[in-house]
Amino acid sequence: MAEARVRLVRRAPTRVKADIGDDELLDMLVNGHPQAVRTTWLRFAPLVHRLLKHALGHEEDVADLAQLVFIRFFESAPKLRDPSALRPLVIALTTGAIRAELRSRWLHGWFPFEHVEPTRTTSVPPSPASREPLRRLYFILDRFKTEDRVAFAYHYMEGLSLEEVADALHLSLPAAQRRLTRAWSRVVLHIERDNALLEYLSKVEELGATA
Amino acid sequence: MKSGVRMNFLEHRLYADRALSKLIRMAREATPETLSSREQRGVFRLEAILVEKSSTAVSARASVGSNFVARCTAFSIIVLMVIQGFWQERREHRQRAGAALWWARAVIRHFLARAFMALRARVYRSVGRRELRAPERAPERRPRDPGSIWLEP
Repeated sequence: MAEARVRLVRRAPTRVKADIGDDELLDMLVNGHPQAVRTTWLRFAPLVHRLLKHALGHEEDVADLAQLVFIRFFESAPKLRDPSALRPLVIALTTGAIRAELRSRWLHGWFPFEHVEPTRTTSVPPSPASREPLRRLYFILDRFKTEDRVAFAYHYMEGLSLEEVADALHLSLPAAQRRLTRAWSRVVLHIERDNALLEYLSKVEELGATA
Repeated sequence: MKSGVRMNFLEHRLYADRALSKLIRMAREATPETLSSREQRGVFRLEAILVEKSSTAVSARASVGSNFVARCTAFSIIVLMVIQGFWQERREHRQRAGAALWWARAVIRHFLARAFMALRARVYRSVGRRELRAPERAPERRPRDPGSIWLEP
């Protein structure tokens, strides 16, 4: 009896190039290339995740919101003509998702019709020393308008340029500059009044100096 | 922070400024540049969602087309029914009341409206005049002059 040997051959994983140019990526998106999704993910997912984490301050919904951003991206990207507009498009879509999330949080705060799972309002940083100060920072940012909060997070935390911030928020450059200055001074004012936070930071500083 | 020593305003502000810079640095350190393994696996979920979306897109498009036509038809039928009901009501009312009575009502309504508007204009005018008028002042006291015929108010 001849034994039929079945050999299961695992298909070799196709390499996805991460260092691909904007032109090539847009071509892939327009032509529906099978690797377009993974390449786009490799290229923009870290940026999207960081923007969401910085602006929202907690990590519960970041994965879901990132999926939402990318689904919208794949709907709109094939219509693009200018390849250099890919990154601004990602930032604009992320900003839209952040705005919608903050708006729904505000709405749930005022009209708690639906049962919402209690969420942690803090990020979970690797170092426990920075957990409490960051919780207090996001508590301060929770009082801000969405645009101010997003501008602050994008420019100071993520390090986006002024032009990118202005583009994401549909503002002129001077308006974005004013918004950032105002947000900074307001956060400083709130920190000034938060003696516990100042004490805590000074202790952390002392510990860091002695260590 | 200086413990036990009262910091002045500028020192306090500078300290808060430095504290915010430190907080921002902490936030940056708390968010790594690269994705975690759990976040990297998000691409599989995304691919699954996109495949599902593309497979349902054709049927959804067809159903959206038919839905749109059905909604438009239903909406226009409702609008036509409302308009027809309105005209029928109006016609019946006019038939019941008779043309003469309808005209009489229209004329009375017209004159009542004019009277009301005239009254309203009168009221507004009087109110405006009162408000625009200079405040009444007490007449100046003049020295009593026995020879004049001026009388004290």
